[in-house]
Amino acid sequence: MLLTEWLTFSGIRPVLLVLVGVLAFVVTNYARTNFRLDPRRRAFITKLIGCLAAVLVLIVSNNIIVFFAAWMAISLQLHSLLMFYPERDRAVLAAHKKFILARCSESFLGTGLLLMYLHTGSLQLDTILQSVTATNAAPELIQHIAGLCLVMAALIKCAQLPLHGWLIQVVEAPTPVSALLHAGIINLGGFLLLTTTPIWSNSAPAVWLLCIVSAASCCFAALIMATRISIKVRLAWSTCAQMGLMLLEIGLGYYDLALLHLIAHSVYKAHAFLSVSEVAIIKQPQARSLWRVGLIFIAFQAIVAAACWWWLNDPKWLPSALLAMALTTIWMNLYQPLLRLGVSVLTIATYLVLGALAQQIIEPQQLTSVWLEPFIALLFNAFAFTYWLVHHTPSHSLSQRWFITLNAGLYLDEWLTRFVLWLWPSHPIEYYQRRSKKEGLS
Amino acid sequence: MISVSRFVSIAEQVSQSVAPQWPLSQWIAVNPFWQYRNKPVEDVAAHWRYSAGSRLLMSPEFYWQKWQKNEIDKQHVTDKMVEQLQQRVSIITPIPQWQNLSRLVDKYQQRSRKMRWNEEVVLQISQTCGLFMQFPKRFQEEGSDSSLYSHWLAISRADRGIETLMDEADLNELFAELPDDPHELIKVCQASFLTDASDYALQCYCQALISDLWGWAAAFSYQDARQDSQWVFDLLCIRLAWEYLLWHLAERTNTSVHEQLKSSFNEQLEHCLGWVGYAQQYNELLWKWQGAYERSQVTRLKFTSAEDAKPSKAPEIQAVFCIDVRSERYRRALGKAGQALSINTQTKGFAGFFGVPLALKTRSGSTPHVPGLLQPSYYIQAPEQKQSVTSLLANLFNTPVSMFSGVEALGLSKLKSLLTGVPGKIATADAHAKATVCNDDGEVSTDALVAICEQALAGMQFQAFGQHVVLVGHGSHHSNNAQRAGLNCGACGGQTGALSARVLTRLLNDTTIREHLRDRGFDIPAKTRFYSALHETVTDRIVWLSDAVPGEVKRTFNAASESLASNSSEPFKARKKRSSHWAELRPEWGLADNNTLFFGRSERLASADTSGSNFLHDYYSNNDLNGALLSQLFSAPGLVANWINWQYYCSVTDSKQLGSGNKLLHNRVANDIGVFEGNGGDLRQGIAWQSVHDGKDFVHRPMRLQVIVEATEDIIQKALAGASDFNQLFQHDWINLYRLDERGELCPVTK
Repeated sequence: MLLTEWLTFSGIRPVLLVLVGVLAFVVTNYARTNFRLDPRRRAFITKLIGCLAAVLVLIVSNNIIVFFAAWMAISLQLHSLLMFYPERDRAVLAAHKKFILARCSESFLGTGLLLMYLHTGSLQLDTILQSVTATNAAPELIQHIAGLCLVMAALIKCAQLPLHGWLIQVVEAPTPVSALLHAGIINLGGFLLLTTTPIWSNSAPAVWLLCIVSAASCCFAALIMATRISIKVRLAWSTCAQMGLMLLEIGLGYYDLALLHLIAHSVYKAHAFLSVSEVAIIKQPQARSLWRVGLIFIAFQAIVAAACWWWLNDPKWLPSALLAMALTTIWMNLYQPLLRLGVSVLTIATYLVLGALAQQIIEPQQLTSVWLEPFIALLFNAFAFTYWLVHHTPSHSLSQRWFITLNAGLYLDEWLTRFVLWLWPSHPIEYYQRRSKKEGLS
Repeated sequence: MISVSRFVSIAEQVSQSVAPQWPLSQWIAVNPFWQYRNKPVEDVAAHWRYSAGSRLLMSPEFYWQKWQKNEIDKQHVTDKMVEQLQQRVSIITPIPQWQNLSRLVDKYQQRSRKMRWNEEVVLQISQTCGLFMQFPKRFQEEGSDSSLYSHWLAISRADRGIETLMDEADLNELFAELPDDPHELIKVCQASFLTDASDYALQCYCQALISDLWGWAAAFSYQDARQDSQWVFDLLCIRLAWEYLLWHLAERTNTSVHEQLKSSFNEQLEHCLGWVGYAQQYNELLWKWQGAYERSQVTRLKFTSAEDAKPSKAPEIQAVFCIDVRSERYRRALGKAGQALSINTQTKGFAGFFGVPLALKTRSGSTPHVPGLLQPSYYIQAPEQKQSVTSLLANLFNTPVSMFSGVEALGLSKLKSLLTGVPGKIATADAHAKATVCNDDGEVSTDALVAICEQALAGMQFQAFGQHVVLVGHGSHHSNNAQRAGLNCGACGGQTGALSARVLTRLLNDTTIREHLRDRGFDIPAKTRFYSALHETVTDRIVWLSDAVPGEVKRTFNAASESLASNSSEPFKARKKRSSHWAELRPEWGLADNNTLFFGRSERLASADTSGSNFLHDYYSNNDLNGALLSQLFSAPGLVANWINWQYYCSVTDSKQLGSGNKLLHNRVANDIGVFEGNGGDLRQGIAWQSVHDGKDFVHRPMRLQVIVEATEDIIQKALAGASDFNQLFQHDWINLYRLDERGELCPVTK
């Protein structure tokens, strides 16, 4: 009895434990070799393991106080990893930015959890969720606020626009930290929302906030990614976009797809970061006719949506649009008809099978608003066409202008950087002065 | 006031003096001060120390430590030197350094709660350069000289971010007012804040400016040498434009800062000559110690007298290795293995491309397999590669529109490789084993092939042919390393030696070619067969490239590999792991601790030490009385060794500016033109920290190249007269030159 008060293994937790286990094994192993002969190897591994331990506690904790403490511990451990080279001023600036945002995220999370405690009178996560689910009535104001708080906490944790800058700038940390962050820790926003669905999913403002911010982040971050020049920064923008999609899927009730996304993306991104030094030229998109690409895409989208409607009685607007985009890219990059067909079928089949498996673990939820999903699918259509316009027709005047704006990250992060510097000045010179003073005293 | 054209020519000259840096896939070591070889090293060091803060000497503490550990011998040191060094160690005297306007603004303006100018300027230019190289179709104007400058100007004028970030509302207005033409920019700069500048001051200033973006300058210098462009000059102008902007920004917004800028900048312009002199004076003592250190180290090498090293009877196995320092240990092991098995084995040293000036052509471009100073005259067409699953996946995951569903459906396919890691690899050129040698007119004639062979054989200086001749290239088997090419064969342009060895082996085994060679004086006995192999330098194994290698040859090489494995302090398993683990940052030490180049008979080098510090090149002076061959050796392997040596030297003396930093933070840039350290800043150049440091100490002794020649003074002087670049390096102390006499003593060569 006592154990279930503190621990829970329900829902998606077992799968996540396996995932975190695999990542922990791979990343610590990697770091041990990475830091071979490095005098600070032990310090690094200790911090890394501390961080991973906190993640494990968070996943299995049923008590909201422990949950909150673990959430905070992860972020503080991560901070010490991001500050592993305190003499690098850009690293320090990024870590400070992250530190401030993490405290904001925690304030939202803390408020949300506190409100739920006041609302239900329980400190146990499962009891809270049960009592919320049991009252089928329209959510009260307190639940709306709690829902909004949780959504805000997740959005900040997942580095959604416009508070994304730190995620890009912390590539100043050693590669294993990036792998751990981008494949593991950043997903916690998704984990939070997936495990607390009853609290926020009935609150329309929370769902709308979640969907609009994450959809915008997803599209813009993906567009910005393609204009970046270094591999790690590209990967970081890609994470920002992928987290946007995961949160969007959660917002739209595709919990199964969100879980699949979380796992598949973690594996892919961990691999991508850890193999980041393998020299491989990123192919630049060739100049292509926008109309041709557009037509192929629209056709695919229509086919996929129609098929979904036929079999599932629901056009599944967003997954159809995304799948059509992937199929278009496959179609454009393979030239042999049989290979095209084979790879396309393989992609669709894997997608369906994995999706069905994920559904065994977590059930999707029907959305209350009918218009939200088509609207977002439309947004993604606009996104795809923007990408093709910018990258397949570089000579177009709009293309050049948008490219430069996108490359500048839409000027979203500059204000935050200024604010952080103003709030928490950090310059390496001061660090050195401090250090030499310390050494002088001892 | 000096004329504008004079300023332009100084700027051009400083730009043209930047040594190139090759892109990652072809990365080879370069002497960063190559273009300064016509000036004494002491002058160059003092100049760069003042203008850019570059260090070409170790700290006084370093020499003091070496002295205390007896690594510097008493006979090379005077009491006065010791006394002065001791003083130097106890009292730290700062050496003044030129301050660009961006630094001065940071100093005078209160920016403790704001972004600082200097680093932001570097970052902004660096990112713009990255865009320029990553998206050539979008940003590089065809046929325009100043395309880089105008690209930067266009981006900067369109950008609103930096104005916000720096909290300077007037910045964009100033960008709009900047001249469109770099020469015009130089003119307005001179008119506004460089009115009183002397030639000398301008040179200091240009060096200081370019050194902020040295990595990009080096990358552009590589590009400029291959096309008709002036991108380094453009880069310098971009950096100058920022100075102009900051000057005018201060003038408009903050008069007191502007006054301070004016007075200290003018003071610099006036006094820079004196400060360089001061730096030179400061360095004088350290150069003496550096010389003493080098002499102490080089005299630890032991040589036998000429009589003791008489050639033995005709060898059964002859193995030709690259002169790379890593070959030294293998050659010694092979010699011993031959003795133990009583198979007469001779090893020879030659440049690792075996004199075959080849390139490998694919649809996307051509990869030269020659030293950096040469141009390939022949090529081999690589077969068309099939579209691989990995590249399709990479494309799917890297394209913004397809990465979402792509990752959901296929992201898990990376699970296996996440658990096992990316495997190590080494290029063995299997696909090109039978490819024909072509030039621009198609397949080359037999005559040309014979000429290739003739040149190669002349260089290798065979006295007699053994029964089995093995051409041993080298390459490094490891995983996940952006600077992989740096561990491969520098003489093969950062590739492995496999392709060159394969091609030459095939040519020399061809009966028709042998017949022609006989007419030209190279009589290869019919029973002599050539084989090719690759020395894998992480584990010291041999990868055989030829089929049907005779058992005794394999046995001898295996014995050599095994003796190296068993004599090494670490278990073979650990080496094996280094060669395959994807997280390994130090698969091997590469060319670290290279310091000596020996032209002569390798038998004469008697030191038992097998650490691999010596480039060994075969040279028989009795066939070369006019020094023509030696002159060629000075001009080819001599320069290559100097490049490698100085790259390592600088990466140790100034790892911040001339080394590529921490590998844990490496971040590949702009289609692998180079790496950033972390998020940005300048492109990095040189050798990474992990490649010269083992966590406790440097593994590379910072010594200038010690060239030792087994020949008479007369031949050496004749050879020097014919090798002008090498002679300049020698005359100006970039290298040290010794003559090995009959007794086995090292004698300095007269300048």
